[in-house]
Amino acid sequence: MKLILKHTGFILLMTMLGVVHIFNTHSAEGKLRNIAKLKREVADSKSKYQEVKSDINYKSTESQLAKRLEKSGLKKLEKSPMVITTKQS
Amino acid sequence: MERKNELLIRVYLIFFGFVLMAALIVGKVFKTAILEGDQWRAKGERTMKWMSVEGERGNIYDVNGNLLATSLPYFDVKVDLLTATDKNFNKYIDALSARLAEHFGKSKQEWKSTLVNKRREGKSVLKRRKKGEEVYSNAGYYPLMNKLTRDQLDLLKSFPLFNLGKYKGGLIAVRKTRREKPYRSLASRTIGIEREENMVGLERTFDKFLKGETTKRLMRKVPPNETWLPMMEASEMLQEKGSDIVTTIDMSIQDIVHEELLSTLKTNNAKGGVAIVMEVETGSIKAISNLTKMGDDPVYREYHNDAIGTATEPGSTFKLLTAMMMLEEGKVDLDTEVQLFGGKKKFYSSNMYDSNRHGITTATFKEAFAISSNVGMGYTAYQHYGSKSDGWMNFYKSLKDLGVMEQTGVEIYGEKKPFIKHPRKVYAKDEKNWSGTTVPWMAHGYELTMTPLQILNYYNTIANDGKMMRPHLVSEIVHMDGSRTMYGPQVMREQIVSASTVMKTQELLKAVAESGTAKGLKVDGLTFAGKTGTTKLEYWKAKEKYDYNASFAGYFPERNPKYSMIVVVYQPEGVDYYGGKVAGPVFQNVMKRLSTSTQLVEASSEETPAVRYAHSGFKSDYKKVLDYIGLDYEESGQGKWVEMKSKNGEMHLVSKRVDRKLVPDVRGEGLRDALYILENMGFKVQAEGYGKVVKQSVAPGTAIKGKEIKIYLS
Repeated sequence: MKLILKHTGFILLMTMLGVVHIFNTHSAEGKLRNIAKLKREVADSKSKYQEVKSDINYKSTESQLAKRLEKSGLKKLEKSPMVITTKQS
Repeated sequence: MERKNELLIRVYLIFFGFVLMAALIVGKVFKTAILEGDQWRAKGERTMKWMSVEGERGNIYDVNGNLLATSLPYFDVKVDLLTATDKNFNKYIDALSARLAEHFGKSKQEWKSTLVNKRREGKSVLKRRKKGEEVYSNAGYYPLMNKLTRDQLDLLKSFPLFNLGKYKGGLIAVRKTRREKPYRSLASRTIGIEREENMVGLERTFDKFLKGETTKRLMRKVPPNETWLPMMEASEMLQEKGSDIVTTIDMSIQDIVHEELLSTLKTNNAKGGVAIVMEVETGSIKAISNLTKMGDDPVYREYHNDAIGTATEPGSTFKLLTAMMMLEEGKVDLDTEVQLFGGKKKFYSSNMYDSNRHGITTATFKEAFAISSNVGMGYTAYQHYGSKSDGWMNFYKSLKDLGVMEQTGVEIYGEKKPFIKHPRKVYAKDEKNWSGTTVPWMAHGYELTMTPLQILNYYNTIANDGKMMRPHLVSEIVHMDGSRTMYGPQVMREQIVSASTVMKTQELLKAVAESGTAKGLKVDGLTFAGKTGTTKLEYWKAKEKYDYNASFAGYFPERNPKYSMIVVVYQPEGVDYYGGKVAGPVFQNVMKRLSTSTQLVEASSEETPAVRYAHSGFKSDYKKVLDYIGLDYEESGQGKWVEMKSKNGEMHLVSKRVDRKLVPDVRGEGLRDALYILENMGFKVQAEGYGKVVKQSVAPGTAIKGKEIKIYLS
């Protein structure tokens, strides 16, 4: 009994450390779960982005644009651009 | 003391209580883990298992980072109808059916009856199983929908009942991936197909890089139909992704090439066609199209990579090699006189014809090349290499020296080897053996086969001043850790023939474009060089009508070439079958359309336009613009307003006098500047027309009388 009373302080410390340990483990686990969740969200967003982007890429090719713009009267550039050069004096 | 003892007894009691509990727990652990361990583990293995799962496949990109092939996730969705409690199921089934009907077709009633029936079936199966019956059925476990996008899945998850989660609502999503090509058919055969067997294209060549790492994941067996499903949520599973491949293909060029080739194939009702665009300096393939019409299907599709995997008799485009060879060995020069025999000549028992009976008997080698005379080329080669004793072997060896027997080594599996016959070899088929007609016929591209890419590589080499680059499609591999493996341009031969031969060959190709068979392809302000080809098929048979392959190979601009290109149109069935008429326009239009980007346009005229400006305006605006362009100018006077004049071909900004008492001269000014000046002086201005002021109602320099002025712009 005396032994227990004598080491009360130590036992309390151990108990406290135990509580801290358990708390720490739980919060770490929680964080890992959160990381996994965020990773999943990033991957989700990425694939959504890719879906949208690939659609836009296809629609923005010259031939697709030309088809869509036919009605509006916009046409492909037929002439080459002029290059203006200045004489070095 | 008594109190102390009592206390002690209580403490001991509690203490022993704890010890007992601890002992019980330890005992139970011992029993479960060691005594019954095997039994539990065996049971666990039956319902749970580590399975290998392949990581997501890497992407394929074009040179500008556009996606050419990617793996997109999709979801197969199943419902375990026995998961939900009776209470939940009955409470939500109406609302759920309504939402399903709203977003995924079918009526609310249909959905409801299907789900209710499946659940009932499942329950009865479960009951029979409990009685010990062996029932094989997946009732209660209903495949709801397949191939959902992520958005659709999210929507589904928000529906009543399903929003309770996997373990209460019973919705199970299995994540799968499909390979998607955002640009659909563009270069699709070259990008390739990913599948279990017979992969093609870059997907095949780079499979080991693209393929993700195989990882293990814990799967559990789900009753009652015993399907393996991942332990965690489907979308939680992320594996090691494969490396990305960056190609040299430029989708903006590919789009143009595809469109132009397709339009030619349609107009000429051809069987199929090939077009390749290569960057001269590096050998990077910028665009590669293979279109074929199969059977009754009227649509041209990418069925086979003919550009790389089909070797045919090239016909006249091969004359480039014969010319290179004879020029290099000093057999001919550009102005050597060659015999054309009017366009028809008999070698042994075979007749050789030019594409038209031009009637010309002699011409210079350059002229003969320009009008693509088969007889001219065939007979000249025959004169120099026609003898059986050493000529044939020399002809063969000279071709070999040019590397004609070699493959290009492009990164596509299945590149056809060129077929060049050997003078002393005996072939299984008699007609393949070397004969007296072989040299003159090979000289104009028959009795041998090469792929379009192999032919193009020689035109690219001539464009690149004799330096042969390896045609390639992939520029780098980006690994998942961010490191890169680069594949730079590779030189196949530093100098294929002497510099003077290269220059003469360029001269020949230029002559074709300027005055020869390709002169119809000229475009104002653009220069090119190239060679037409019209290959007669099965020419050894006597026929009423022959089939042809039309081709054109060349490069542009003629000076400082940027791109080389080959177009082959297989068996056109229209009015025209000549290379210049059928394949040439594809080259011409691609050149034209690529030239709308400034990098390809050369300053074509040296003339300096005379400065005829009658403009005037705010001085600092002028200076800002002129400084930005970098044009020289002189200025005189201190006024804020200037007139631009021409002085000895130089621009001259002359200050304008603006007097408070006199009507200012606003002629030559834009509306904004004119209004600014006039209104600042208190005039009420009426303007008419657009452009620059050409006339003003009150003459400039006169004393101000009224406050009204009218200006006319034009």
